[in-house]
Amino acid sequence: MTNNWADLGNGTLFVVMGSNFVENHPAATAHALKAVDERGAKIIVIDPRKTRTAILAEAHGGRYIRQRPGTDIAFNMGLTRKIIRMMEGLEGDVDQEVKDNFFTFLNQSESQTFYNNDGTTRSRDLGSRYTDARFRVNAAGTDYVRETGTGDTDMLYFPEKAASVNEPDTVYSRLKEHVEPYTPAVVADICGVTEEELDFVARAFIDNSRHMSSKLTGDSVIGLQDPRDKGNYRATTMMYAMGLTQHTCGSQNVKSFTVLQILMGNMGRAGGGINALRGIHNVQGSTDMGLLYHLIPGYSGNPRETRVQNSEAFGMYTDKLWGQPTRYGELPYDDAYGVSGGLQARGFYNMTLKWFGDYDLIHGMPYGTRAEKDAKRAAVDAIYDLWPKTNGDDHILMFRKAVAGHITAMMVWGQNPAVTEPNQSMVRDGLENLDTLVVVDMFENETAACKRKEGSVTYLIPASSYAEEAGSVANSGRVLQWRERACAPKGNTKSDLELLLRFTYALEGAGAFSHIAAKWQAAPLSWTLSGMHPVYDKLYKEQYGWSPADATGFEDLTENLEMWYADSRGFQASAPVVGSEVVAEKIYQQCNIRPANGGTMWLYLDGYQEDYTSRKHGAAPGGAAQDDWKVFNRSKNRDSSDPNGTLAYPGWGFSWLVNRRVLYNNGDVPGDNGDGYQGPDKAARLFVCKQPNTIGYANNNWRLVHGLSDRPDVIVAADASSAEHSVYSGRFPAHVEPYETPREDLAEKWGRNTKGTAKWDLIHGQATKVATNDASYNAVNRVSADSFPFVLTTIRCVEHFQGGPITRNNPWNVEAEPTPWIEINSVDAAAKGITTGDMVDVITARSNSTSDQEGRTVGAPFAEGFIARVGVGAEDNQRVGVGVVAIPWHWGDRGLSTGSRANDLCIDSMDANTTIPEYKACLCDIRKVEM
Amino acid sequence: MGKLDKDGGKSLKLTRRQFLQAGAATAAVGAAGLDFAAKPSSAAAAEVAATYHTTCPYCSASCGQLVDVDAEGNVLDIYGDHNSPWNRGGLCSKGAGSYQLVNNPRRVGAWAGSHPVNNTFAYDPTYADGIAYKRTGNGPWEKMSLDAALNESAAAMVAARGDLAVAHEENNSDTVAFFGSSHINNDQNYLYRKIIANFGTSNVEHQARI
Repeated sequence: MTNNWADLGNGTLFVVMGSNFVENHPAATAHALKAVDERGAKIIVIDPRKTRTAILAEAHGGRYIRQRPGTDIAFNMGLTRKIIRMMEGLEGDVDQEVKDNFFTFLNQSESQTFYNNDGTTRSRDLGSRYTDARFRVNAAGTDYVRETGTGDTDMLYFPEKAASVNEPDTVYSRLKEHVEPYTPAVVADICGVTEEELDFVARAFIDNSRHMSSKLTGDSVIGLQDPRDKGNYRATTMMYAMGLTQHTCGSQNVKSFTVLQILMGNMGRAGGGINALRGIHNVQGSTDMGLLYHLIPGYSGNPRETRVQNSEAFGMYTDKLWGQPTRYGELPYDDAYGVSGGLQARGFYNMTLKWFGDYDLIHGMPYGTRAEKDAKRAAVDAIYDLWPKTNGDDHILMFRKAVAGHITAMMVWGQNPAVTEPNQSMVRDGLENLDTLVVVDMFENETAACKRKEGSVTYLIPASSYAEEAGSVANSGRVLQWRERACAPKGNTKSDLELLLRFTYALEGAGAFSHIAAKWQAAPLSWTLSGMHPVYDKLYKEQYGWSPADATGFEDLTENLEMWYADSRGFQASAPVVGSEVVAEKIYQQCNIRPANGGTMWLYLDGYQEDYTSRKHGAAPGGAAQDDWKVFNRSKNRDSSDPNGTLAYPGWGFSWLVNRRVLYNNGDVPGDNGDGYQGPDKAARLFVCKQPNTIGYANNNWRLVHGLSDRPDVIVAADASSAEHSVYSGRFPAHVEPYETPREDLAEKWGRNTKGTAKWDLIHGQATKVATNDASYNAVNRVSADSFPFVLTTIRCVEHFQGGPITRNNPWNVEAEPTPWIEINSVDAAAKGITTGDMVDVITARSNSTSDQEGRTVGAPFAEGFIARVGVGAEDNQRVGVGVVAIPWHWGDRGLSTGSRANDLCIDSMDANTTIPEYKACLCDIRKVEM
Repeated sequence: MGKLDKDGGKSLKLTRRQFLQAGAATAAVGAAGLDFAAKPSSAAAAEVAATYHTTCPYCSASCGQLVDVDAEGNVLDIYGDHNSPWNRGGLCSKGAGSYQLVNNPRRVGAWAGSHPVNNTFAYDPTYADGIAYKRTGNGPWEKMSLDAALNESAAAMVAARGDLAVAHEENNSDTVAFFGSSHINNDQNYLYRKIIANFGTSNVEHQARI
């Protein structure tokens, strides 16, 4: 979320595409309804399914619009086209002042100060305070047109700007060309929506934008607008979840939101923004921590540069990180070796030394003379060598490699891929074929219980519950909150922290870290090592305070670690913590102290701070009155007041970045910490620049910009403008069809999504990359609506959660929602002879729902199909439209409640940028199961 | 809203479900303010030795929760934190059932006595220092000490990885796989990611990808 949960209460329009928050984020409902009650806000739900959220919207004066699955971009580009036409006076009846505000906003420029190479500074016009709308782009350009420099500084390569967005070669004009093919008739054909519906949404957007807000509040169009002016403040928020991302074009779907919100000035405003409603309670935090094949903590990519390739690999890697300053006469990355490197670079330096070496020793090396610099660099470079270089494999591919016998051992810690992964046949073949499978979970889940090959070994290690362990979690609004250890882990179970430390100790015993020990002993480090576990002792015990070899048990740890401060008394005090609170606090401090003091998580800057003005709940140390006591660990802050009246709650937990509650706010949100756009070009981007590298101008706010690598595989059509956009469509979102689609005619015209310039197939498991327009290949591998006439989409319900272990074992949840079901339109049900309560078999090219897929599951009968819930009443008002069926995916073969797995059916085609599977659209057939 | 609700299933026990909605504070959509069904602790005040702060283990709205425990550390109830700006004491049907998750009799290795899934998973005092379960092929689960299981697992992972110094010059093995979790805390994930980097692979994924 760019904003946060409570901030939803500042919005006046909620555009919801691909989220059913009433069921999946129920607390969001309360915040949205606060805005409905206090501001007359409206909710618009655009979704293939009339969800409970859609029904909520209608019940409060909003609207539901049904679309065909997988057509979000076409809708949003049609909407963009209509909004532009209304703002340009070509249609509709928009107030002149609002139209003027729209262009004033897009044309707004701003000056900033930059450093020249000789150390002097100068100000220059960045071209835009908010957006890149005025930047120049060539017709076939994949980057902005860049300045070539004026000779007097090294500030080269800034984008060239036009005087006005209305010049023909601006980003704005290119966007206008791009959306021109998305006429109401075309959008109606692709999405199944009417022009009246597009008009309605466009009008709602305009009436609830920055531009309308300025007119009503009388504020300057670029200035501060006050959300506390409830009568006049207007802001649209766009909300999405998996319904938007689980497509082959998921990233571009989200990009289509940014185009709309940037144009309408709704980014960086209270009640506005783009709000990704993330799934699991700590999915934000686990992503922050880089548990993905392409990341390390803090969104730094895996180190790629090796010293085999270049002796200055560490410097070359850190040079791409944000905030790395360059100074006259030095190599760009000189400072990264330890003194005053930029935030992300300094955090990476700290992390490198604390993860692989000895921070105190190496950081303490002098760095003045050339000889000193060389010596310290050599030490840092030696430690940097230990980072695994380059990316791993994505989740789908890892199971395929297990099938092939390439991956032979797997550890699954708190996940249940035997329910959650698409195309279960392949996943289960992979799990079966592993030599070793280690599962850590509270329950004997489907993954632990899956069918295994003869002679293989499976371990199930019992985990404690969340109430039995301390640590911080990051919610969807980026707010860190501390979880207290309410009691010791139950029975034989252990906390994750204890299990991890004991596993690490065992790893060293098995020789896993011998490469680290060898590096330490070799020149230039030449350290003398002692003991049986020198790596564990240095990198874990010394830093986190416990070893399995210690006499003190993990849960018996006690340490005065929680630091407090009281302004009135002017002193500090510490309070004792026990067990996992000790280790979790130590890790939190390692991450969250300032990078300049050795903190490793630059992203969490100021998450641990002694001068903050909030407080923890409960009594202070020694029983003192709590009112002016503060705790350094800001995730423990529990001040529930709203001092600015803007629903920001700055004293509740800690929000990255620097407790800013609305990202990209440009100082426009009262009371919030100011923010600016930090990309190389200092502007929110309508255009996806294909130039991913940092630009070489001297300024200490630059970083790698992520481009999108997908492009549709078919050249669209007739006129010059659309041919241009299709070839370079990654620049702006363009409609593509799902991998399996009932509209092959549209796929031929608009294409499917492919990755990069090589148009290779998006389905894993093919031996070689295959052209998606290869007719002979498609004849065999791509099914059509002739044999699979329905579109299958997957859904969730409020009573169950994800892969199911933590709800399908609870009697209340199971009793409330005991079995998986299928939602069918009454028209389709009648044609198939299905009535409510019948069991329905769903068949796709991959599997069906009533057989145990070649015995891939051990024990428990579960594959009985889905209970039919047939729509009632007018067909357009039912849960799903004609030709679409929906099934929940929470079920499997273990737990109090078992049921057919949706993911036996789902396709493992994937987003070209992120490799998220296309759970939301594939082709299927259905049939009634004769009992 | 009930009209299009998930009625129609044969096996739904509607009267019981309505009871649950009242008793378990199923997602209530109210009319004013932060109207989110809230319920105070069910624990008897005299038994409550301490109350701890945590957040709900389900979705990313991260509703505040309070945990009442008795003097022995038994969890008596888990209920909404009325101070939390995210939920003001309310919880949905999942969050309101958190008590059942924590005290679930089907948890592995947590409770003494007969186990509803498999008696092998009952608490065993002979494994006070930690337990694990192992099966070979599709054989039955067998108890073993945690340390023995961790040692065997570690040796197997190292064997699958091979010798990094020889086989993988860049310390990145592609023959092992680690899955982490959004169900565990930041500090745990940070530690896990560090261990994987030390181990020598970038093959790590978790729910954020799906």
